[in-house]
Amino acid sequence: MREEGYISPRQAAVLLWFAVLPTAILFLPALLALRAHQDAWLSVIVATLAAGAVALVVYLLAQRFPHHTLFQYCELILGPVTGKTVALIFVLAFFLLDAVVIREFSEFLVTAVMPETPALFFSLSIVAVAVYAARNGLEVIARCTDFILPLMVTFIAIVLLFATPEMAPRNLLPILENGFRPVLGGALVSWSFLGQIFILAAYGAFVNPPRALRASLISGLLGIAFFLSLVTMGTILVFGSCEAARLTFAAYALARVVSLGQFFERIEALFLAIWVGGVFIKITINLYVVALGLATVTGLKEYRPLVAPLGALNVAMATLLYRNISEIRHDLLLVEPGWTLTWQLILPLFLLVMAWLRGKRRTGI
Amino acid sequence: MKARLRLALALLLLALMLPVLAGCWSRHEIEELAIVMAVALDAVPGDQVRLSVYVAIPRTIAGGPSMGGGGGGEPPKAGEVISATGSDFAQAARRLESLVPRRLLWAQNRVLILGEELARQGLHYLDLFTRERQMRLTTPVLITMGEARKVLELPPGIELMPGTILTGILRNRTTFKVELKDLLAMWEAPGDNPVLPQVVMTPTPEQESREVRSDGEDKGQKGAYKEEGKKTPPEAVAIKGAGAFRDDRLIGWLDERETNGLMWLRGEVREGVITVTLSIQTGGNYPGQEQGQKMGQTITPDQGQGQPAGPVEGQGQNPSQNQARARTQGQASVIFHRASTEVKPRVEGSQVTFNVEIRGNCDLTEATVSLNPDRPEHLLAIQEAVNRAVEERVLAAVRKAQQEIRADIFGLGETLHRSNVRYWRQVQDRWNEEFTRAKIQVKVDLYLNRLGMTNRTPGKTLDIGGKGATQGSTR
Repeated sequence: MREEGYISPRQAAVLLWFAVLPTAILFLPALLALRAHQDAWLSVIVATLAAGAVALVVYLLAQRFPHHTLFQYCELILGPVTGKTVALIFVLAFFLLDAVVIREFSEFLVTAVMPETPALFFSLSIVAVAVYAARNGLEVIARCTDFILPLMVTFIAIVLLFATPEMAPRNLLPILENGFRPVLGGALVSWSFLGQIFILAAYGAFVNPPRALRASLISGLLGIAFFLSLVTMGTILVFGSCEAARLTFAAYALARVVSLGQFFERIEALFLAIWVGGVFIKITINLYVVALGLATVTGLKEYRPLVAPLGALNVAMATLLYRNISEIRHDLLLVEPGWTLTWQLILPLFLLVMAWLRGKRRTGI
Repeated sequence: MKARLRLALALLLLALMLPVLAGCWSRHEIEELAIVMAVALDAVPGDQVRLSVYVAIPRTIAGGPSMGGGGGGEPPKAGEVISATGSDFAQAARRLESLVPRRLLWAQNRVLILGEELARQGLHYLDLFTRERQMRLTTPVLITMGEARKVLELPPGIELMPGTILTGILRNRTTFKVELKDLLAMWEAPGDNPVLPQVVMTPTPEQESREVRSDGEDKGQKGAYKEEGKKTPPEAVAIKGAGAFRDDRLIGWLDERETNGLMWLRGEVREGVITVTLSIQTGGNYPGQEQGQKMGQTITPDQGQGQPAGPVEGQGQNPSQNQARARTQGQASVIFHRASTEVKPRVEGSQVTFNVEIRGNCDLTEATVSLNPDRPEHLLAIQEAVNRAVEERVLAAVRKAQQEIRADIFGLGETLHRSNVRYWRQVQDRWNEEFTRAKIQVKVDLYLNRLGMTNRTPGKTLDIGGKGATQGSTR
């Protein structure tokens, strides 16, 4: 084992929440409003159902191979050569995902808060912290969430609550104006975020007790869906679907409209600080999984030496990945849904089918 | 050895972090900032636009509280108006920065005022104000006849800054409020057209309202004089009336009455005062005529001056010389705090009908007509007159929109969109045209159910048909 720590099922669920939500609440509502208009929140629910399929696959795989990470049972199922190749694909996919997250993070900060600071500075500093945290192992990352989760939940709740005077319920109507197709289109876009719960396959091996994995998957997914649909609904309620689709950063815009009696306003800076904490967890857990996976594939005893170089590569990747924000939107709208569907659902499903066909399973250690 | 190396490395790292953690990167000290408190947008000839900003002078603001009670002398000018022209507002803003010795900070902007000419050219110039990160979508937007810049030159009153004055008036809810995000939503929704509250510069409204009180007829802008200083400044503002757009272009103006009707139709009325002229008769026929007013604002004086139809018969038995007694004819004002509007579209063939139902409760707040609280029909008379007044305002707004503006400024298309998607699809591309043919039926059910702190109108006790009136002074 390359990781000595164990995390509780609750921590696993919270990590799952952090692995999806921070960037999703910022980017997704506007993209959903573009695709599904006032039914954007329905898209989230549909996508949650679809993400349930991923959760099921992850759960079934974990049942067959308790105490084994995704990268380990790839080899167990497909044999050393193919297994290592597939595991490497997963490592690369997580690596790419992390780079996208880092880029989204720095892009947001430069656009919305500090236009004079180079984006590279933001990605470097967050990755520096993420490297430090990832080197300390899963237990430490999980314990970080204990601090950030209450802040983040409270703050999302505050923003939504205090934005209610600006909300108009009629903005949600008519429901299903153009039938189900736009909703499905939106679901496909939110899928690329919700499917990221697949990350549990990589760290689920360290959940103790292993049979509680189902509970963490379900509660994690429901938590994500709950907050994501609330924020999406809040954005549509406040801005209306036309205007919501024009926003680049939905949750931030939502925090900006909060104004309570002339004194409780301009709280977006606070939102920002807490949100950065959330993204930090997201980047860290992804970086950790990448390092762990690469160590597994290459047969290293330790994943720690890999973290810093991978982080550096990630920063470079994040910088080079897109030329402009339009490419990010294009990617999120058109490319990511297909790509995430491939590696987060089809590939694991393939693994599961192979394991079932070849009768592979491991019980105990 | 290794531990010492680690320590040295850690110290080095800490030292390296110092410049970053101090937060000096791209900092802007407050002394280096020119804080924009209000923005006025105008079009100038030659396809150019003019951006005028009201920049706060920090010295005077900081001096304000320290001077404390010593309110003598002219109120200090708290800011300065600067303008620059350009082919778009970003260019104008940049040129503006070459005129001020400080960097412009837009984040504190209180209000956005559109000039008439620019509004006639279209709203697309507003893009800068949604895209630039310092701007807020919650900034209230106003429109003014003629140049917007002159609104910024408003002399200071109770509040020092024109932006604060305007947002203060908006907070009184005498008229509706449109924030930038609301404006964009109205513009972008297919079944809606923008309307913006209008800023009016008024000459010496304080004098005018004094006149009003002396002759007992409401002609002035009482809403404005509230915001005024003690002296009579050359000019003051009022927010009344509205500019109506078709799609993104300003087409025409609504007067106060029509604006009030528009607010009822849009469901924007939350609180207000309505004044009606009526006569109370013993017969049971109560012709009421409107002279309405909403939160101190008067509607056009030609309304409500008409004599009530039918012979007016006094019910007081004391034909005293004192006119204040037993006035069978006079005014009554009601105040309401909560009102709701419900619009139900109905489609029959190609005829769209909107059934508008307005509901709410109101309290009597002033009556100059003699009122006997023990006779429910007196209250019903007032109530009926109020209802008719509201209905007339709504219909006036509808007439204006259908005949002059020829655009759905009420967002009725969106209610149709929500309730009847199939029909909406057929008409959405030519909705404004279709709107002019739509029928709008108004039903007002405002209930007058409270009398306030006193019951009958003050004056010498008259025997107005009831035992209840035999008590003495109601004080």
